[in-house]
Formats: sequence, C-alpha cells, structure tokens
Amino acid sequence: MGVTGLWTVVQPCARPIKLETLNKKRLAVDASIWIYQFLKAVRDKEGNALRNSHVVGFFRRICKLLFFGIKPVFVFDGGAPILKRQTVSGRKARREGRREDAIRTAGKLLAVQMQRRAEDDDPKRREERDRPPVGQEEEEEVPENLVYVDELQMTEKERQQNRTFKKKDAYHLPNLDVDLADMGAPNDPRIMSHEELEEYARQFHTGEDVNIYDFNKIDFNSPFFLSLPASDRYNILNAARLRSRLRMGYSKEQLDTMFPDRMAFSRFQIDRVKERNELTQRLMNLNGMNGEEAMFGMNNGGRVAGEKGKEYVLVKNDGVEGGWALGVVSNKGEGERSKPIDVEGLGKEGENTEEDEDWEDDGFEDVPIEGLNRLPRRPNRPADVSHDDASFESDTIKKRRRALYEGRKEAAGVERAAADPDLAEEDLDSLFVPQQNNGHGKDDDEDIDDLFEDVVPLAEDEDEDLNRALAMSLEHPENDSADDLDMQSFSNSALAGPRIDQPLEFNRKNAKAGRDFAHLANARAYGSAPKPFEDESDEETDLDLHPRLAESRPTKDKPQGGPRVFGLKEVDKMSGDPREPASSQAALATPSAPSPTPVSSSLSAGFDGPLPFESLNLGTSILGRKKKPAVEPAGGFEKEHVKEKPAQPLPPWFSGDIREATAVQKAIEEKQHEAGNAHRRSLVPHRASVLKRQETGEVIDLEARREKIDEIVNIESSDEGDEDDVIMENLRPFDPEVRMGDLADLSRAEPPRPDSPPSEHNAGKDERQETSAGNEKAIEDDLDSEELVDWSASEPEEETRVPPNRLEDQDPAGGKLQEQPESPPKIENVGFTGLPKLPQDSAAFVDSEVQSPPSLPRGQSSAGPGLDDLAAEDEDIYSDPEEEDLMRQLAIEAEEHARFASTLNSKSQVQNAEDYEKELRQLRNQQKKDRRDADEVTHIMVTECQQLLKLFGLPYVTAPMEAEAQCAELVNLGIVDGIVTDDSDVFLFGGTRVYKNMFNQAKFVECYLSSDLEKEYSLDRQKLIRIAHLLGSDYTEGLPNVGPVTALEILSEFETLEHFSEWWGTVQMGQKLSAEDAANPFRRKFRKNASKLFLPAVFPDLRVDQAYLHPEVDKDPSPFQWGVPDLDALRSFLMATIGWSQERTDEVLVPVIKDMNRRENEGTQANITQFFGGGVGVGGKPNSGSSSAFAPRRRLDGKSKRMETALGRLHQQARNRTIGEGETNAEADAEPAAGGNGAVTGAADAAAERRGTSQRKSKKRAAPVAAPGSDNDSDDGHDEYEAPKKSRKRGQASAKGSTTERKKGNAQR
Amino acid sequence: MDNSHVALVSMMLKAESFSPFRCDRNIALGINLSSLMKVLRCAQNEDILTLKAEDAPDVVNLVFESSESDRLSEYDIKLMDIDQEHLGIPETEYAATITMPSAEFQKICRDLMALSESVAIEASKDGVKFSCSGDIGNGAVTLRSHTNVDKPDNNVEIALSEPVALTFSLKYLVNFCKASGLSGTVKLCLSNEVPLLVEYGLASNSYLRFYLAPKIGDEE
Repeated sequence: MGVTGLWTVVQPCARPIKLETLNKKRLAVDASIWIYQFLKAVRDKEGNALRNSHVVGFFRRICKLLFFGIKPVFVFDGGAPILKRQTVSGRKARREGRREDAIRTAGKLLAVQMQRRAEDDDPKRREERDRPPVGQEEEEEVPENLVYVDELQMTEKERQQNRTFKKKDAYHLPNLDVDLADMGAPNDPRIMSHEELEEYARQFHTGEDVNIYDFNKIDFNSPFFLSLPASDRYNILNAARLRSRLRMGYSKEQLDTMFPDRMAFSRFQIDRVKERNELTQRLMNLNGMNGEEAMFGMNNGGRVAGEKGKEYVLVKNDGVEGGWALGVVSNKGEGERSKPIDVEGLGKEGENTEEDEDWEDDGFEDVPIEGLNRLPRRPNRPADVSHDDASFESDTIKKRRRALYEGRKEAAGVERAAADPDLAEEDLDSLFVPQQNNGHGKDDDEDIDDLFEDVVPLAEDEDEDLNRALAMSLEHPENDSADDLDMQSFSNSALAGPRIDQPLEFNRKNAKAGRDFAHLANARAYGSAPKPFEDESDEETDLDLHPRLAESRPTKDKPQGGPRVFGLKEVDKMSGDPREPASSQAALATPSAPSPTPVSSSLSAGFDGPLPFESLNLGTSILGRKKKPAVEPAGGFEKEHVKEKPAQPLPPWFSGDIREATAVQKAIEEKQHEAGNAHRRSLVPHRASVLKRQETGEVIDLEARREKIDEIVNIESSDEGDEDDVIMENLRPFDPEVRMGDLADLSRAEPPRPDSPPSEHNAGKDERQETSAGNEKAIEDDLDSEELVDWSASEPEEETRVPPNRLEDQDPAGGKLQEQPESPPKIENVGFTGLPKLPQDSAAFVDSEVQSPPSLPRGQSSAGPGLDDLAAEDEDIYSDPEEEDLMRQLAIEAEEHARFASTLNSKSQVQNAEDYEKELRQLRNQQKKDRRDADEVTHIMVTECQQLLKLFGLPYVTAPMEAEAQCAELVNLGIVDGIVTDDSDVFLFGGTRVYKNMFNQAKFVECYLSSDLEKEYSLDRQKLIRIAHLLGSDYTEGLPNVGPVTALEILSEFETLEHFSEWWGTVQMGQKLSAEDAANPFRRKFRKNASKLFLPAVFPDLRVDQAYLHPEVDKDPSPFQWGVPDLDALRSFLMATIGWSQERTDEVLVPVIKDMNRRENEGTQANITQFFGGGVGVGGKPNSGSSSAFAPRRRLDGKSKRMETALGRLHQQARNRTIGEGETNAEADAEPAAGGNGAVTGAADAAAERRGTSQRKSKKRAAPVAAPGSDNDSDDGHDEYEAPKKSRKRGQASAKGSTTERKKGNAQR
Repeated sequence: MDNSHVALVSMMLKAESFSPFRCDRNIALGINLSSLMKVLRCAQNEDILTLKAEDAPDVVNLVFESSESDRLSEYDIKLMDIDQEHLGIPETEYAATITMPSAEFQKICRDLMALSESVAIEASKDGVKFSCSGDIGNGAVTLRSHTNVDKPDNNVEIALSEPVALTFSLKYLVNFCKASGLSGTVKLCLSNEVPLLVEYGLASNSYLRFYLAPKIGDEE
C-alpha cells in the first residue's frame, strides 16, 4: 500500500501531536486502508483471519476519534484506475503464487517433521537391532492358566471344554452339562427368578439401614434426633416401633422360662405396649396425623406412606376412644416365603423356615418385609441376649438376606460378565453398605471407624463387651466362624465371608491409604485375615479339602487357645472354658452356615449408618455371642440349640464332599481338628512348621497385646496374628490353577442359585474366586498390618519350605497383576473386591504386596501411619515413574537426534537442533504470512463498515477511484483539516497534512506536513512521485533492488529520472566512466550496483505521474455534516454482527457518547494557536484559518548513515533553494549545476568558506574542503553530506532573524 | 505554550530591570525550564544574578554573586535546539479590561475550582461576573468597580467597550494565579473569540502574561 518505504524517508519530518489538539478537527479518514489493515493484521495464532475483525477495529477506532472530539469523514475506495488494476493484478498473481507457496510450505513442514521423526527413529531401530535379546526378555511369560477374554465368564471346566471343543460345522454346539429338562423349569439356573430380579432392582434404591441402631438407647427427645430430617426420623421411629411390637422373637416356652412370674411377664408385655404406643404416637406426630390439619385433612384415613411391598395405612378408630391406628399392609409375603423355600431346598433350612413361618404367623408379618427392606435383622438383637426365638428369627432373616445376597451376587456376577467392575463393585457395596452408593470405599471405612470409635468409649461392661464383639464381628465375622471348631460353620462362613470381606477389606485398604489410625489399620488387617481362612477352606473343598481344613482348623484352634481366648479373657467375660465360647460360637456359626447371613448382618452392623446412635451389637458376630453367653447363661444354651439345627443343612451345600459330611458332626469337632491336623501334618510335613510358626506369631501377638492398653487393640492384634498365619497358609496352599479357575468362575455369567445344589456349587466357586482375591488382600493386609514381625518371621520360613508353591501363588496373585494390570484376571479381582477400579490402585496394591517385605521394618516402626504412607508411596512410585520415564525418554531422544544428525553432517549437536528449530520456525512464519497475503477485502466488509458509520452518524464518501486521492482533494477543498491514513500515497496525491499512527499511542499522533517535506528535504510532490517510480507503489512496480536509501541517493544525485535512466543506459552499455562519474563517489560506487538494476523500457512511466497528479476525484465542495451516534442501533448492530452483548458495547460506547454530550454542553477547549498568527506548520489550505498546529519535530536518531546522507543532501538542496530565493547570490547559481553534477556540496561549502567565520569545530570543517575533482574517499563524502545538516540545525537556532542572520547562521560552519 | 496548545506564558523583563544590560543582537536561547529551575535554586535570595550568552551560544552562563560574602557561583546551562517557528502574538484591542487585586482573583479562581472545571467570565456595565456550575451546584462572584483610596492595590477597575462573555478552564487560571506573589494587582483582558490575557505587572514595566484560549461551544 502506498509507496514502498516512503514512510521511512519522511519519518524525520514527523511531528508528534497531542490528540487533544485535534479536537474539533475535521479529518478525512482513509477507510479502505483501515479495512485492509484489520484484514491483514488481526490474525489468530495460526494466521487465519478473524471474522468481523474489521467491524471491531472500526468500532474501536471510531470510538477513539469521537472521544477526542475529532470529526472524521470516512473515504472508501471506489474503483481502481487502470494503472492500479494492472499493478494489483500483478500483485494478485504474486498472491496466487503465495497461495501455492502456502501449500508448498505446509508440505515442507511436513517433510521436515517427517525427516526428523525418521531420524529419531533410526537410532532407536538400530538400538533395537543391537540388543534383540532384551526385547525377548521383556516379552511376557504366558501364565500357565491362560484365560482368554471371551472365556472370562466361564468356569474352568467350561473353559476346558471350550478349548477342547472344535466346531465341526457352523451349527455344531458343545454339549450341555445341564440336563435339558432343567432348562425350562422354573428354577432354570440360567434365568433370574422373579424374586431375584426384584431384589436386584431393590438394591439400587438403597435406604439407610435403620436396624443397626439400638433403639432402646436412642433418646427420641434429644435435640440431635430432632435435628434429623423428618424422613430419617420417620424411618427410625418406624423401625423402632416395629421392633417394639415383636414378642422379642421368643417362643412361649422361652418366655415362660424367662418370666416364671406371670405378673412379671404381663408387666413385660405392658411395657412393650407402652413403649410401642409411645413410638406410634411419635410416629403420628411426625406425620402430622394427629395434628389439627390431620383431623381436618384426612378424615377417612388412607395410605400414609408406602414403599414397594409395604404400605402404611392410617385407619380411623371409630370406637369410643376414637383416634387413629397405623397399619402396615404387606403384599410381599409370598416373595418372602419363596426365598425361604429356596433355602429349604437345601434341606437344612427346612426347620428354620418352618419356624420362621410359624413365627411370622404369630404376628411378625413385618419382619419379612423388613428383611426385604433391609430393616430388620437387628430387632432381635436386644432380645437375642436372652431368647432363642430371636436367634431363629435372625436366622430366617439371615436366610433371606442370604438369598438376597446371592441374588445380588448373581447380578454382580452378570455385571462382571459385562466387564463392568464398577457396577459390580457398587452392587456389592450397596448390598453391604447402604450409604456406600457413592462407590467410595473410604466412606465405608469412615463409617466403620465411626462405629468403632463410638463403640470404644462405652462405659458399661456389657456394652463394652458388645462393642468389642461388634468390632470384632465387623472386622471379620468369618474369622470368628473360622475360629469355631465347627467345620461346617467354618466352611459356610468361608463361603459367605469372602464375598463380604473382600469389599470390606478393600475399603479398608483404601482407608488405610489415607489414614493414620493404627487401630483401624489393625482392625482392618484383622478383618482381612479371616478371608484367607475361608478362601483356603473353599479351595480345599474343591481340591484337597481334607488337608486344607485340617490345616485351617489347627490354625484356628491355636489362635483360639492362645491369643484369642486370652483376649477374651482380658475382656474378662470369657473367663472359663474356651470350649464353651467355642461351642457357642459354633452354635452361632451354624445358623450362619446354612445362610451366610451372619456375615452379612455383621457386615451391615459394621457399616452402620452415619448416625451416632449406638449401634446394636450383632449377635451374628460370633465374638459378640461369645461374650453374650458369658453375660447371660441362657444365651449359650440357646445358641447351642440353634447351632445344632443348622448344622444339618450343610451337606447339600457341599454335596458330594466328604469333608462336609464329617463336618456335620460337631461333637467331634475338636478331635477331628486335631486329627485333621495330624493328618495334614502327615500329608504335608511343612505344615507343621506352619503351625509352629503360627504359634510363634501368637506369642508375639500376646506380647504386643500386653503392651497395648486398649483391649480392642489387643484383640485385634491377636487377630492379626491369626491373620498372618492364615495368610501364610494361604500362600502356601494356593494353587495357581485353582486360582485361575476361581477367577474364571467369578467372572462367569451363570448365576449361582441358592436353591439348586449346582448353583450352590457355583456360588461356592465364586467364593473361591473371592478367596483368591482375598488372598491377595490378605497378603496386602499382611504387609499393612503391624504384625510385621510375624510376617517377616513367617515369610522366610514359608519360602524356604515351599518355594515353588509360593512363587506360583505370588505369580498369579500379585506378580502377574503387577506385570500386566490390564489382564483379565486382575480386572475380575478388582471388580469383585469392589476395588475402586483404578488400575493404579490395584497396581499400587500389588506393588505394596511385592515391595513391602523390604520396607517392612519401616512400617513396623511407624505402625499404621507408616504403612499408610508406604502404600501411598508405592502408588506414587507406580504412577510417577511412567511419566518420568516418558520425559526422560523424550529428552534422550532429542539428544540422540542431535547426536545422530551431527554424525551425519559433522555439525555440533546443538547447532543441528537449532537449525532444525529455525527451519521449522521459518516455515511456520512463512505459512502464516502466505495465508495472510492470500486474503482480500470483500465488499461485505465495506458495507458492514459503512453501516457502522451510518449508525455513528459519521459522514462517509465513496471516492470515484482512490480513497487517498479523494482525501487529498478534500483537504485541498478545505472541507477537512487533515487526513488520517497510513498510506503514503496520499502525499503523492497532494495531501498536505497527514496524521499517521493515530491509534498506536495513547496521546500522540504523528503529523506529517507536506510543507515540512518540502522545506526540509525539498521533497515536493514531483520528487515524491519520482520516489514512487523507484520504489514502487500501487501504480508502478518500481525497480527491484532499489530501497528507500538508494532511491533517495538516486534522487539526490540525478535531477530527474530521465537523467538517471540515461545514465543507467550508458552504464549498461558499458561505457567507461566519465570524468563526471569519476568525480562523484556515489556514482562510482553505484555503477557497480547499477548492473544489478533493471529499468523497464519506458522507465519513468508518465502515466504514473499523471495518475498521481490528476487523479479522478469528487470535487464537490459542499461541507460535511456530523450526526450523533444511535446507541440502540449500534447495540443491535454489534450484537448482530459480532455478537457483542449490550454490556460489552456500552462499556466503551456509553462513556464516549457521554463525553461527546458533555463537550457539547460545556464547550470545548479552544486551541490557542488558532488565535495567534505566526503560521506555524500550516498544512491545510492557507485560507482555512484554523489549520495551524504548533508541534516541534522530534528528531530520531539511529537511521542509516546513507539515508541521513541522502536526506542531508536533499536538505541542502532545499536550503540552497531557499537561500537562492532569499538572495540571488552565487549559491543560487551553483544550484542548477549541483542538480546536474552533484557539485552542490562543494558549492555550498565554498559558500560556507567564503563567509565562514565560524570559530568552532574546525575539525568538522575538514571535510568540506573537498573540492570538485579531488579524490575524496567515502568517509569524506559522508562528512560532506552530513555537514549541511549540522549547519541547518545551527542555522535554525538563529533563523528567526533576518535573512542576513540566517545567512550567517548558515555560514557558521 | 503548554503541549495541549491551550495556554501560553510570556514574560517580559525590560532592559530597565537589569543593570547593566547589553545585547548586541537579537538572540533566542532555548533553555530547558527544569534545568533553569535547578540552577536557580542554587542562588540565594540576595545574590546578584548575571546572565550571559555568547553569540551563537551553546550554553547560557549564570553567575551568582554574593554581595556579602564575595562568593561567586557560576553555572552553565546547555541550550536547547528550539524550533524556530514562533508564535507571533498579535497586539489586540481588548473589549474589556479588568484590574483587580491578584489575591482577589486567586481566591475567586480557587473557590470556583471547587465547583466546576470551567468558569464563565461575563463583563458588563454592572461589573464582572465569574460564574460556574458543576455537579454539586452553581456559584458566582460578581465584582464591581471599586476604589479604595487608602490602598490603591485593592481597587477594582473595569474598562469596557462592549460586553464580553467567555468561558475558561479553571485549571489553567488557578495555575496562573500562582504568580500572584509577583504583583499585587492583576489585569484581565477579554475579547470575544480571543484568548484571555492575564497580566501581572512587574517592576519597571516588566510583565508576566498568560494567554488562555477560551472554551467554545459547539456553534460552528
């Protein structure tokens, strides 16, 4: 745009002007260049044009203009003159080239990058080639029991079948292992029963399990209770009420024994009634049913509240007393019963169910419902202590629960099959812990902790005991059951336990990661311990039940005899015979055996709600029961009684298993155990050592326990000891194969059914899987647990003993997982255990497992927290190294590339890298530039801008041709005072006062006056046009290889371009240098370069001059009018075009308009210069009156020397001319000559010398001595050129005076 | 002139103010005001100041002589290359000329400054009215011709050929008033459409003049 490089030439003439001084000035704005600027300059990072940048830019600039009170007239380009069109088309052609260039550049970029990549890869490849064995090493070993993805859901057997099975044709299916007859039957193992589905659905809307609270201990009037949300209060009250109505689950006989006195019994009954009444009242209060509104609102009673399968109905009592009764209608009965029936199928349950039914008939309809709703179980708790029925009831409930559990498990299994471990986890969680829906294990842990802590502080002995028991049970009911000498119970609990425990344990682990509580950690460890037991047992059932059981038994026995019993004793309830508690435990366990309910119940107890109510001590937990018996003699009896019954059903469970059969007989339990032990010992000699080890562990435990003050802790520690032992065992016996099978089972889709033996079996398998998972956990727990001593002690032992086994165990369990966390087995484990699904977690898990042995000492010293830290650290280590590795690799890669490249081309590495970067950068920049140049101003942009102007109330003109020419014409017409443009063409069109860079600075604008140009450099319009010829402009291409400096030199050297052309012609013709040339240093030098120049045939194209001198313009002299901005229209316009909100628009526009209005009201500050004569810097029409502006020029340094020289010469010419005008002396004569032959300087110097009386700086004057014809070198020439400038400055200082003075000043030098 | 081109200061020190005074030829010395201030601060109140500049000078020389202590301080200030273009200040016949105590004028300006940015000065037969209106309200001070025989400095004289009403920026006027210490009286000269002249008379016909461009309304 404009004359290339002209601005740099005229730069020294710029006057910085305060924007305020432009107040009220009418300025013509070259709008076309604005749009162009916005289009080119406003780009995003990739060089793409931003849409509507022109509107935004216009808006901002207009606001600025208006703010300073400037009255702009916008001038748009009209058509383009032919000349311009030619050059523009030339330019376009160049642009097209650019566009291609853009594509080419992109290609180059790609090529460079690919090259680099290739270079990077090459060394790597070479490296790889160098060490192929390493790669092989890294290849993963194929585990023995490979499970393919599509086999995830299958049992081992199925897998085997599947693998051996080969399709003979497309329709060939493997044989079914189930009877076809069973398939259609209602108990089709493949289909979820209706009830199961229901239960499954139910588990998704989890309510809080209220039953875990001991309602007797709740103060319903306490502020805390009242502060609970109404729904919670309702739930609690309702549960309490329901519980209170029970006959405590006791049979008549039991009650008889309990209350030999009839009065006592009736008192008991009355108490119950009272209590219940009270609760009912509260409930009704809560519902507002006995309030006023209730009376008016609900006369006929009706459904008060309901949930699926249960309805609370308010019935008005029309009797004398009136009032309301709350009834519960349950339609769930059948569903309930159906489950018991399922259990019945097992055989052993039969009695129980019958009893249950009886019991239900007795009026405990609520219970079943509750069981379904997860409410009940606990109701018995308080009663449990003394009554058999309670236990029965609990059993039934447990059964139900168990059924539920199974169902859920199935569901979970299905989900697992769907490979969604999360869901599975959630399911499990929801089952176990209602509030755990969020899926965070930590919550559970916290809950547990809360519970635990709550329990601890209890003051009462009984409570304490109960609490302890609770804690124990929480931690691991299975463990307790395992402790029982009863094999059945053990196995049962084992079956049931692992499932529950795993999630628990998992949660605990999580909690551990974040927690420091040593206690908790202990408890957790303890909890984790039991699983292994069960796991073992499970496995044993399948593989080598006998030895396993035997082994487990002894282990259990030992703990019992030693630490455990001891702990109990400490508790001081269990003073006497360990047997007795054991038996009681067994009793308790037996009921649980048929149905793993105890486990679940205990679990639920463990996970009691967040409410701080004292939680009920669950009788289910064996430990709790143990204590109970101690407190109440009756308990023990009852339990025994109970246990016998359930013992029977076990066989079906373990159908076909000899072990179970033997297990049924409780009487022989201990002996059997011992026998088993012996047997086992004989079978596996090293087991004895295990036992010993356990013993040692126990001893240690005892010691540790003694040290600890907290009883609970003691218990835990002892438990831990057990756990450790168990773990050790687990490790040993574990067969990788078994585990794999388990895992597969676990993932198997087939839903295990509690009813049918096969399904049971499946369940068992599942449990086994769990156990495998549990194994891992156990190991982890081991590591985590404080009982490191045991562990470490036992560890080596075991290793020495059964190295192969162990290794195997570890491989499938931990090692494999660690190596490839994504492997199916692991996922299954995770899903099942309810791990948070984060592979990292599990990985960390595994890590800790593997790594902890070395770090054990640390953990030991710091107990819980240390372990936690350890785990955390492990995790960190696991995750970080990967990233670090990556970074390191990249760094190495970069280095390597540099090195590699350097080997290729023997450059330094750094250099190479730099080169590459540079290349890339260059290419990118060019790409950007190319893209930019390819864009053009469109008509739409112009119309949008014009619309904006209209809305601002600003006049605009569309020029017939060039906007710059029109601007110049407007100034010449006197209807504007100046021109705002960045296009240097405007000088060539005759613009006299030009404001440039108006929007670059806050306060100043550069003002160029054509008079300045003329005065300073004698750059009149003609000369400027000549410059355009040389440099190129819109109308001419200019000369290649001629820049502003050369152009100025040529200009100062040759009077006209014709002269120059002529001279060039002679040079081209190879004529030797004339005397004239020889005399002139510039010409001498320029000759050399001249060969590089190429002048078009018609060099000074006269059409260009014509185009500039006589542009087609609108000469209408009618003045412009300015309106006021239309704020509303502007808002909507900006909203429509650039999507600015009103606020955004107002942000700028409103202040501007306000300011305009204010100025209108107050008037604006006038400029003093307009009142005074002196005609300083008059650029506008001389007659326009108010166009003067006083602004001293600011001289910039740092220009090129040559440029200064050339300018200086021009200036000298100008000065000479003025002088010549002023007085017709010799100088004037010399000037024409100077124009021709460059002797001007000499002449000037001569003149200076003539007058020169200057006293100063004779040094400087050395140069001017140069006389025409002398062999001045370039330096001299430089001085020569520079000298005039100095003199000018000097002269200015005194120029105010008369001409003579000026002369003098000039002569100073 | 300030860089907004609104006000202009002109100070005339007549030859009578100096002794001796010698000037062979008209010469313009471009002096940086802040540099001059720095040097002048080096002088003491009773010092004798001598200003010297050579023909075609690079520096201006200031000499402070202490009559009491025979101390002689000499400073050179480098000259600036001031653009030659000068404003020619035309001699204007003002329509209204008001002479008043400088303190009075200062007070008026300061008081009105509190209300508004600009003051309207209306000179009529009745007197001179300084009025302003701002956000918080309006204010006006009217002066009439007044002769105080005892203290001629307190006289207020109004010479009026035609009524004048102009608006000026108070900010500048308040700055002008800082010269009040130089003279007991101030002379305001106004004409429509012409800058205000504020003149503080100095000894021996010297003067300090301020010119201030008026604020003009939107009428074109």
